[in-house]
Order: sequence, then structure tokens, then C-alpha cells
Amino acid sequence: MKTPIRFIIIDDDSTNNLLCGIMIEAAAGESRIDDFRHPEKGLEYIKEQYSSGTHPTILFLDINMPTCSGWEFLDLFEKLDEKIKDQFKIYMLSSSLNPGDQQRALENENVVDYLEKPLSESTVLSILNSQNGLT
Amino acid sequence: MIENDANSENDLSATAEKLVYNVIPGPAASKDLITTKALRILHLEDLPADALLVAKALKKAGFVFEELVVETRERFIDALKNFSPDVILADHSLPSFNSAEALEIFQGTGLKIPFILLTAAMSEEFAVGILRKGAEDYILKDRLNRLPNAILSALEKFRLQKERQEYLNELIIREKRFHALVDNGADAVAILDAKGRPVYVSSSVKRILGYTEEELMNIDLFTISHPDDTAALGDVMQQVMANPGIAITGHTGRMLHKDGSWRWIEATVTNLLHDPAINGIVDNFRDVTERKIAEEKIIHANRLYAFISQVNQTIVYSRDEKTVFKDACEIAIVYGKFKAAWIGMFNTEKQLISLVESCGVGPRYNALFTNVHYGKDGPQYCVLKNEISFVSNDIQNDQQLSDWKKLAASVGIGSIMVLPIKKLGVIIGTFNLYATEAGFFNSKEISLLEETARNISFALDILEKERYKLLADEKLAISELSLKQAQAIAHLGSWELNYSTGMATLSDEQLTIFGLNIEEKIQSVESLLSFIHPEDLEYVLSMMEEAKTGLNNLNFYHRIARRDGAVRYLYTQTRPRLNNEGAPTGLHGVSWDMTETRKSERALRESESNLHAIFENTSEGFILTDNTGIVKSFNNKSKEIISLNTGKELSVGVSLFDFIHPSRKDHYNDVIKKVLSGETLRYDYPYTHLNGEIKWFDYRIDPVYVSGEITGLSITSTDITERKQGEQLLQRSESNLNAIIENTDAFIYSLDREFRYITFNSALRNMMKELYGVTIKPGYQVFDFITEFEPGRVQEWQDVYSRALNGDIIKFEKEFFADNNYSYTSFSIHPIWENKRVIGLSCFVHDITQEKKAEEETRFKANLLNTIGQAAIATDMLGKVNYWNKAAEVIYGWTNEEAIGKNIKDLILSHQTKDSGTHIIEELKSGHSWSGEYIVQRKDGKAFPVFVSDSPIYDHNKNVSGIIGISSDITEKKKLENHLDKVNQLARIGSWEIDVAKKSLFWSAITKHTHGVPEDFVPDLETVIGLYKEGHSRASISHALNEAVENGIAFDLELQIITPKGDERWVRANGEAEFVRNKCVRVYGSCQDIDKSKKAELEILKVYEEKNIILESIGDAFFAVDKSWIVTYWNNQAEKMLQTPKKKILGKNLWSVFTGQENSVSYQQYHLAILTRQLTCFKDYYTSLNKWFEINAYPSENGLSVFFKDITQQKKSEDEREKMTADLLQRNTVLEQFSYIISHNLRAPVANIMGLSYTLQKKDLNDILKEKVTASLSSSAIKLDEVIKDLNEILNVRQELNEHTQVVNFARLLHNIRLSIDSLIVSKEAIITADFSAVEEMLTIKSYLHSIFYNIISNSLKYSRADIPPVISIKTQLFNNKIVLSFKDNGLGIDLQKRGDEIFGLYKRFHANKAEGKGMGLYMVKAQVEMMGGKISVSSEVNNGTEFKIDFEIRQQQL
Repeated sequence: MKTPIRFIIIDDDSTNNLLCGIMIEAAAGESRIDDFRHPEKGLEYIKEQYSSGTHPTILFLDINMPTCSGWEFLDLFEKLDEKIKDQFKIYMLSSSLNPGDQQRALENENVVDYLEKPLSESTVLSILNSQNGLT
Repeated sequence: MIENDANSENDLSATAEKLVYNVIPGPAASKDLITTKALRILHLEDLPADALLVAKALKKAGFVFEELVVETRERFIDALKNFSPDVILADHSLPSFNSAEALEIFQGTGLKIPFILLTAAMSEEFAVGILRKGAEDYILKDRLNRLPNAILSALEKFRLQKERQEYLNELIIREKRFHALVDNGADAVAILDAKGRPVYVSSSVKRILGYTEEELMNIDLFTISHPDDTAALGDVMQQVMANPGIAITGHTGRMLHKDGSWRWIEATVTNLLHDPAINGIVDNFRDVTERKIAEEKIIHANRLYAFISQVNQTIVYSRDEKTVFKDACEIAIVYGKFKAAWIGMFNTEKQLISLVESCGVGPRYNALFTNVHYGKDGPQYCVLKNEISFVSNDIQNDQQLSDWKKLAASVGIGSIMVLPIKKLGVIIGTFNLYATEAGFFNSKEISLLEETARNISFALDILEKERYKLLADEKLAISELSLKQAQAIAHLGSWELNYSTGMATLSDEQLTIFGLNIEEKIQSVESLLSFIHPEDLEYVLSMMEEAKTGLNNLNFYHRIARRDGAVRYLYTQTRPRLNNEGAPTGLHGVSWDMTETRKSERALRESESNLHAIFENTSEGFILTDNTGIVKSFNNKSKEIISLNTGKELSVGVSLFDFIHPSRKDHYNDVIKKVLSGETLRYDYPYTHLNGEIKWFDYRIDPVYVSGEITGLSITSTDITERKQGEQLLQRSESNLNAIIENTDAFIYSLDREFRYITFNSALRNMMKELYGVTIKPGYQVFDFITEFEPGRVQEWQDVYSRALNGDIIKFEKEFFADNNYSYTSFSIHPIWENKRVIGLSCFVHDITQEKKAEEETRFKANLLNTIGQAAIATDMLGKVNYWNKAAEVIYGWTNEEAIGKNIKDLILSHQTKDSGTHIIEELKSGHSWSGEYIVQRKDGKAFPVFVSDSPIYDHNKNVSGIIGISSDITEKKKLENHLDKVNQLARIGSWEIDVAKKSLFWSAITKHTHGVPEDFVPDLETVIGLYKEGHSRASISHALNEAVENGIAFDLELQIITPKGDERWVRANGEAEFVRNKCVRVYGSCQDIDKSKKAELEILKVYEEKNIILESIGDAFFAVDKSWIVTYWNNQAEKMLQTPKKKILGKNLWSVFTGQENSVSYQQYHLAILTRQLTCFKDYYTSLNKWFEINAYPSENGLSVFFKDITQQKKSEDEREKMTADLLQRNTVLEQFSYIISHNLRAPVANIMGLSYTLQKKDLNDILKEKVTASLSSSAIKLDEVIKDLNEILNVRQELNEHTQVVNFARLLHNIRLSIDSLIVSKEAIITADFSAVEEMLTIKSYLHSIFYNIISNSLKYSRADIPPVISIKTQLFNNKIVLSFKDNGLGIDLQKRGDEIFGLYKRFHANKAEGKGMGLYMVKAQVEMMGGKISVSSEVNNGTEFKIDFEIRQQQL
């Protein structure tokens, strides 16, 4: 690991965000974790923080959110600078069992994988491992 | 630690320095003691030297220390308190007290530091004693080198002791915490030994299973495991034993609660037998019964909905019963998760049921269900009898199924359900579902399965109806086909010609006759006429013209030439088609291809015997030649004619040209050429015989056909000399008559029906000119004259002329006063008859003033009479002749002298007519005139016919004084009449005449021939009437004759006779009566053989009738209209279906009967059909009849033919089916929503619970985090519960359709809702206005309407703008038969463009900051509105409010 990996969680469900925090910490130790209950704010944050510098970040993104769904978020994300986008590995994290959702997630080139809730420690570990392998 | 201890033991002899580094590598605390912090030593010693010695030794060993030496008891106690030593060194013997005492004091302080005894000498016994008392070590003063090590090891020992103690304390705390956790947490913990017996249970177990710890310790877990789960539990335990140290998670099974209920337990089991600290199997378990039930409910719901949805899809897409059955069985297994399913059909007569489709039954058992008798108590009988489904949830204990028990147990069936399957309302079979579990069919399952069975039954109805419809269609097709075939068999084509378009439409057979293709169905008249044989074209055109102008039904023969050159002979009958104003719009025709008939006729003509008969029995000459003009055959008559005309002998083998005058040969060549090309030629030609007599002949040259080819000529010659002479005579007599008229002083004129002059003689013209100065001309109105010169007499004259027009002959005399003179004039006005109709009047007027004035004048008059060609004879009342003119002398042979004074009877009346003559005289005496034909005789006794006009002669007193008779010889005229008879003969028209007085009957030769009687047949009325076919024909002719005789009614009948030979044939007989003095004297008329044409006509009529029968008997309504929408045909079914009787519509404009249809589908489609000339098929709803029709409109050249099919039933089924499909689609949407809820809203909290519980189990969490986790756990559980409740609510809405309706007052409803959310309204300062004036109440389901109001209003309050108080206005409107309910607010609004399609979706939320919304309200509103048959729509703008509109059909309200 060259640079410590950061984490962003976008989900309107605070419980999920809490759980994700716990699991990430358990698997990756002390890390920088930001969670957003409003995708719009998450996006704003990304624009502000990632336009300079390089911070490899894993982003867990929920699908079903009231004001802006995960899909809409992805559409907005797509419009960002390549430089910003390159810093992210996006994982859809949803409780949906709808195969359509999964397929749609995997078809999106910005999405690495589709994860079913709840996020577990081992999942985070394997994400990290693959991340290491990649970097 | 142990290893380290061993090391230090081994290195005890090593140097102190080394010790410092080597001995204390472990805890940082010891290291600190030596390296960073001085060791504090309390030294109890009374000898300073010894103390110094000790310090020296320690320093030498490298100790950094602080030393306090005390020697008294008091100082020692003080030092213990204040010095806080790390170690105590004590000399044994001290002046004031000893070491034992010191130890005691030290121990009293509770300090945990080493106490080492330093002594000079010591007994072993004492040493052991003091060590036992608590000293750490003892050192002999002479062996001080051991001291540093002793101190170090003691310190180390104490450090370890202290550490252990701390650790212990920690442990105790942890233990307490752990207990608190396990005892108070949701989970219970049990530790089992290797045999599975509990060695430890947490107290929380009581909450889960109800047992106390003590009770549970004595229970083998396997004994309280559910029998069904024991096997699985055993497996899990084996797995646990095989995987020490690994947590086996997720095992669930049922355990017996102390209260006897079964609880679902989820356990995480870890084998820690190898861990000496635990030496057991840790079973961490929790009660998941609630979750399990929820999951099962969902699985159950999913399974059922999948089952129903699949069955419904099958129903929608299947085309036949078998597929429905087969699929239903398969779906039951695959989606319904049933063990087995089968469908059986009843044979109720034999009380049998037979399996038709199955799944999961297995071939072995199929036989069991084939033609099996169903018992009186069995489920099949129950279903059949009670018409409800049968359910047994416990086969083993069901009395009704006792026979079944064994089999059910062996194949593992616990529950059974038998559902009725109906077709058209009758149970025809059952749908049998078998489930493994007992108690499988709960009430919800039963109701849904029953719905499925009803759906299947409904599908069968639809399929059955579809089958009927196909059969009906097929039948119609057959009817149409047979009509076509009928035409084809009769070789009878039909066609319709439309005058306005000039286009004709041909029937299929007509096309065949013309040799045309089906695409050429519609032809222009020109194109059609191009097929007419060129020689017949003019004739056909004239016929068509007559049909069009004369509006007659015409029958005629003609030929056509097909494209391939073939000539066909057609018999065509036409009927004009008229519009309602009687103007011709077209021509309808039927053509009969009689080429074959014609051919056979020709063949007949070829037959030798017939030819011979014709040859020898005719007055006509016949010659047959080959196509070069060589004579092949001839008859005697022709030989005679040729011989007379040319003086040459006719014989076989000579050429016709031998008889032709050289000057006519070229002409003859042309004639023969024409005939050989198929023409028939006819001409008249005069020959001058050798005796100088001129003879006229009629020649007719026909082509002779053999097998359709012209092989020669036939020449027919007839002597028409007499006819020619007759014609000449006629011409001559006409000019005579003209001379008479012109040379009389009488005014002779004729008038037409409008009393205009047609002709008049010069006498009249001159008189008018001279007397009145009027120049009359043909066309001059006689009343114009009268009005001008005799205005007062107009009426009188009108009466006179009108009477004459009615058929009376009117004769009278008139006195005129002019120029102071009286003049007398005699008028004779005769009606002119033509075709039994008076077409005008002929008037004879002469001045009789002179006769009246003087006797002498009479003579002058008599002389005058002498000049005319007619005999004029006057007698007195007794018949004595007193005047006899010149013409009378000529006609009767008696001279004036001979005749005067004789009685007229003796002079001219023949023997036969004497009596009637007397009678006429009697009539004349009473003032009547008489005219007519009469047989008289000449002086030489020869009888001959005359035309006589007898009039009475009046004296001055106007008494009859005598008779004047004008008579003319009409022998020639009679001859002409005879000739006319001959002409009739040519036309094969026979004549007949009945002499009423004599009751005798005359038949002409043709009449006899027509009736099939020999020429010598003597007809009498009785025999003749007997020839007419019994029944209609005989009755008609008797009646007609009677009417003619009695009332003078003419007749014209087509009747059937049976000839003496037994042939049946049609004849046309017409007749009229002649009346003399109101008495019928004679009935006469003609008759004609019309057998062939009549039969053809009947054949056509028959075909027409067949067509009509078909049209009348088809189950569809049919009508036809012409181009101007006049209804020309309207069948029985149309009467019924359209509820309009024929008499009300036939001949009328369709749209004048069906008014106000301009916007109807039918109106537009009919016009479209005519416009595009294409068949249109469409469906239309007739509101007034409350019926749906499928309508086929066929445009033709004449108009439109329309078929109606009543599809109301079908449409209803279709609508029902559509509704069902829509329901299904909706249900599918609901199912999708379901899966959505399951995947997200249900699973999200479950996922959270899973994650949180895992965290709780595994993680060392700090208290804050732990609190957060447990709080989240509980909120997730609450969320899960809410979703399950929501689900329940949604399912209920879908099912509560049958909830009763009631009248709900909107204002009251709103009032109640206001009360229930009063606090919210007050806190928001909301204003709610309502206007229910348009509709105050409606019939509906109250709870639904309440929910709708509640949800929409609370939504408006929830999503109101922060800056202004919410205003909600509610109102009702009545619009287009709908109640429109609208809710309008001024709230946040929704971006409909972005999210419009989701607004009524389940769990859709639009406002992130509004935590209370969960996306149920509008979903429920929409569901409820739709359940009540309404529609909801929304319009909204962000930050500008939202308006909901709900439409309810009024019809719905009237239910």
C-alpha cells in the first residue's frame, strides 16, 4: 500500500453507514471513512476534495434513496473529471435482490461490483486484497 | 513467562550487571525499578556496620537504591507508612523488638512487598517458622552476596503476584460483564459437554425457552428439539465436533418451550472442547420465531402469487382446454410447490371420474384415477354435489378419507384440496392439489386457490365460446358457398349496373359465363358491352335503353363473344332498379347461359325425322345447302316455289346460284357470306310468275350449326303475297276514308285527352274561320274556343267530353241561336280506344237545321247522302223504308224504287240476324242509337258483314218517328282482320273467343297447338277449363272468365296447363269482354306458349328465393342500401336484431329511420366503405339497443350490403377477459411491488439486523459504539415490523373489495378527519376549505374514502412549505357523468417531470428531509381509488403546490 485507502459510504440509511464503518475499521484498521446520507452532498464533497491530489477511495453506494437514487448518482458521477473518477472504486451496496439491479450495476463501467447488504468484514478484506493486487 | 523464569534460575550465578539486563527482560515495570527509578529499601537494623555492609553489597551488585535504616519499632511503623518501600530487609534480633514482631506489623499494613530476613545465625526451625509466617526469604549475614539476587527474585515474584492479582481482578470484572451480557442480551448461551449435556446455561435462556438454568442443566437438548428437526440437529452437531474452534452459524430449528409451544431457534455453535478454559461446546442461540414466521409468510405469499400469476398467464395465452389443464398441473408443482396435482373429468351418468392431466402423480397412480367410481362420501362427490371446493388438512385423521389414509401415508401426502372446474356454469371436473404437509391449506391459500379454479373455469367458458363462434363462421361460409354453387349449377349469373357510375358488378357465375377472372368483378358498361356479339349489340343496346326509359322488366336472348372467341348464347332478364322517387338508378340482371340448351335445340333440328315433319307440314319452303350453296335437302313446297318463280327444277346437288338471276348473284354471294359467319338474313322479294301474277316471298336464311360450327345454310321462303295485298288494300281504304272526311259538311274532328285538336276536317276549319274568325290548328284547345264564344256553356261541354273520355259514346242534338236564326246541330262523340285505354275522342258534328225546318230539305239531305260511300237507310217506326241512298243500292243490290216502302227486315236482314235486328229496332225506339258489326244479305242472298250506325229520327215534338241507319261493307276489313290473325300465327300467338249468348268457344289453330290439342279439336268451355292445371291455374282462369263476363274486367294471366298427352306447360292467356247494352256478348283474347321463358323465369325466381332463403335464414342481420341510402333489403334477422320491422324501413332512407347517427362509428364506416370501395369490418355499440355488433359492410356499384352480427355476449366476455387481463397486469405490478418490497424495504432492515448482530457477537466495541449498535438493532427491528404491517395492509386492500358500500357525506367525512388530526392542523396553522356543493355525497366504501381523504390531507400538511401556512382546498364537481374530487394545496410540490411516474409507487419518497414519509400513503390512495373503479391523477409544480383529481364513474354510483 502506497497511500492509505479512504472510504466513502453513500446511503440514506444511517444504520447501514454505522455498520459499514464498523466493518471497514475491523478489516482495514483506522481509516478515513466519510459517510453521506444525501448523495448530493457526497458528490459535492468529492468535487471539493478530489480535484487535487490522489486519494484512492473505495465508495460504497446504495441504490434506493429518496431524493437521488444510486443510479442518478452514478450519472452525475460519470460527468466528473476523469482525474477524479480514477481515484474511485465504486461498489454498489444494496439490499435489493432484484437481478435487474445487479445487472444494471455491473453494466455501469464505473461500478466494480455489486454487493448485497450487510457489508461484512471479510468482504471489505477481499476488496482490500484485490485493491492491493491492483495497486 | 515460564521460560523466562527458567532462564533466570539458570543464570543465578551470573554477574549482577548481567542480571540487570538479562534477568528482567519482561515487564517494563521491573526495568523501570532498576534503570529509571531508585529502589526504595527499608532496612531494620540496629547495627550501623551491618547496614553499611548490606548497602555496599547492593551497590556492588549495581543497585540504584534509596535506603532507610530504622531500629525502633516506632520508626519502623512510621517508615512503613511514609517511606513507601519497595522491599523490607529486617535483622532478626533488635534491642526493642524482633523480626517476628516486625513481620507481624508489616503484615498488618497489607503492603504487598517482599520482607526479607537478615540474620547472623538462625536455626533451621526458626527459618521455616518465619518463612511460614510470611517472610519472603532469609539471608545469613555472612552470605550477603546472595542478597541482590534474593531481592530481585522476591521483587519479581511480587511483581508477578501483583500482576496476577490485577489480571484476576480484570477477569472478575469481565466475568461480571459477560454475565450481564449473556443474561440480559437477546441471545442465550449454553455450554455443552462432549455428550451434548449442558454444563453451563446463561440465565437468559429462561426468557427464550422458559426453563430455569437448573431445569435446563438436566435436560438433553435433543429431547426438546422438534422431532422433524432432530436429524438436522444431529448433522449440525457432527459438523461442530468435526470442526473444533470454528463457529458453525445459522442453524435453525424448533425447540420446545416450557409452555409447550415450539419456538424457532437460531444457533451459532462452536466446539471449544479442546480449550481447557472452556472444555465445552458453546451454543449461542436466540429466538427467531417471529422472523421465521414473517419469512414463511413471505415465502408462502410468493409461492401462491407465483402460482396464480402463472396459471393466469396460461389462461390468457392458451388456445385450448388441454393446454390449460396441462399447464395448470405443471405450474401447481413448479410454482405452487405442491406434491402432486391432477385434473379429472366427470362422467356423472356413470358416476366416474377420469384423470385427463396430471403432474407429480406418477404413471403408477395414473391408472388409479382412470374411470374410477367416486364414492358418495368422497371428496369428488362432495365437490360435484355442493359446488364448493373440498379441503382436508389432515388426511390421517379425516373420516371422510379413511380409504385414502394408507396410500397418502405411503406417498407422503398430508393435505388435499379438490377444486371444482366448471364449464358454462356446470361442474365438469376437478382440480386436485396434494401437499406433503398436514395443515397446508390455510384460509388465505384456500381462497386464492378457489379464485384460480374460477379463473380456469372462466378460461374454459371463453374457449368454448370461441369454439362456437368458429362453428358459426364456418356455417356462414358454407351458406355463401352454396349460393355460389347454386348459381354455378344453373349457369345463372347475375349482375348489377349502376347508371350513375357506369359500372357493373358481376357475380362469380356471371364472370364464368363471360370467361372472366375474379379480379374483373367490376366492369365498366363499355367493357361489358364489348363482350356482346357485334350482331346483337344494337339489339342489346336497344333493350337496355328500353329498360332504362320504359322501366320495364325485359327478357331477351343475345350472344356474347368471349375473349377466346367462343360464342355463348344468353337469355337475359333485367329489372330496373329505382330510387325512392321512381327514377332508375340501375339495372339488375340475370343471365342464363343457354348455349348448351341452344346446342341441343340445334341438334334436335338436325334430327332427320323432325326435319321431315317440318318439311312436309309447312306452307313454307325449305332448302338446306352446304356452306358452298350446294343443295342438300329441300321440301316439296320449296320445289314448287322455285319452279313457279324460276321455272327451274330443284334437286339435290345443284347450286343455289343456278336459280339466281345473274344480276343478283353478287348480292347473293354477300348474303351467303354473312350467313356463313353466323348471321340470319331476311328479306322480302317479289317474283313475277309466268302467268303475269306478282307473288311476294319472304326469304329467311339461317346458318346451320352442327356441333357449334356452321356447316351450311337453311333457306325458308314464305308466300306473303296476300299479306302484301292486304297492306295495299289497307292503304287504299285509308285514302278513301280521308276523302269521305274531307268531302262532308259535317264537322269531323278528334281530340286528345286534354281536349286539344288532333285532326279536323276542312269543313270544321272553314266554319271556324268564317263564323268566328278563328284559325284552328292541331293542338288548339277546344275549351279555349268555348270559353271565348260560349262562356256560359263551358261546364256543360266539359261534362260531355269527360263522359266520353270515360268510354261512353255520346250522341245528341243541339239548338243554337245565331244571327236571329235557330240552327240545329247533331253531335256524335266517340271515345278512341287504344290498348283498352281511351286516348282521345272522335267527334262528328253536323248541322241538322234544315231537316228540322222542312220536309223538303230532307230530300236534299237524302241526295247529299247519296254522295257518300256508305249506305244510308231510313225507316219509320215499323221498319218501312222511306229513304235509300245510292250507296245502299250498290251495297245491298236493291234499287231505290225497289226498296222504298218495303220493310227493312225483308230487304237486308239475313235469316240469322232477323231476331236480333228486331231487337235493335226496339232499342232505337226508346231513343238509343246503336252501332256495330252486323251480318246482312244482299238482294242475291249473299251474306256479308257491315258496320252499322243506327240512330232514331225525331219529329218536331221530339218523338221518335223513325230510324236512320248508316252502314258500310266491311268485307275487306274482315279480310284484313283475318290477315292479322295470320300475323299472330307467325308470332305463335293464338286467339280465342267466347260467344257468351251461345256459350260457344272458338280457338285458333295456334291456340290449339299451344294447348297441345289436335287441329280438329272442338273446344267447349268445360273441357278447356279442365285442361288448366287443377288448383291455382284452374281456379284463376274460371274466376277471370267469370269476372270478364260479369263485370267486364280484362285479364292477363300466366297459367299452367296439362296437355292431353300429359305435358305440363305454361301459357299466357289474356282476354277482354265486349259489352252491348250493359251485357256481355263476347269475351275474346289471345294465348301464347310461354313455357320456356316461364320455366327459365321460375328457375331464376327459385334461385332468387334460395338466395332470399339464405339471406333470411342466416343468423346474421343483413340489409342492403342503394347509393342514396335507400334500404332495398332487410332480412328477418335485421328486423329482430335492429328492432325495426321491414315495413318501417324498406324503401326509406336509412338515416331518416336511424336518425342522429352522423357521429356514430357505423355511419363513418359505411361512408368509408363506399369511398374506398373496400369491405370494412368493424364493431359498434348501439346504445339504444344496448348491443354490440360486428358489422361487415360490402360496397357494390349499387350501394352497400351490410351484415350484422350480435357480438354483445362475445364483447362482454372480451371485456371481462380484458378486465381480467388488466387485473392480472395490475396484480403482476403488485407482485413486482412485492418483490421490490421484499428485496429492499423488507431486506434492508434484515440486512441491518444481520450486520448489527454479527458486530455485537464478534467485535469488542466500546460502550458508545455498542449503544449505537443496539439502538440501531432495535430501530431496524421496528422498521421490519412496520414493513410487515404495511404488507398486511396492502394485502387487505386487495382483498376487501366486497366490503359493503354506503352513502358517505363528504362534509361529515372531512369533519371527522379534521378532528383526528386537529393538533397537526393547529400546529401548522393550516387552512382547509371545502366546497361540496356540486356533489354532497356518494355511494362508496367508507373506509376507503376516509383513507383517501386522510392520506391526501396529511400529505399536504406533511409536505407544506416552511415559509407559508398550508392552505388545502377540496371540492367536488360533476363532469361528464363523473364525480370529480379534487384536493389542491400550496405545499412543496413534486417535480413531476423527474419523478412523475413514481408518485403512486410503493415506498417512493420525494422529500429527503421529511423523515416521517415512508411512501405508503399515495400508494394506498391509488390502490383504493382503483378498487372503487376510479382514477387518480396529479398535477404539481415544485414549490407551487400539488393538486390531486379523482374521478369516479357515476354508473358506479348507481350500483
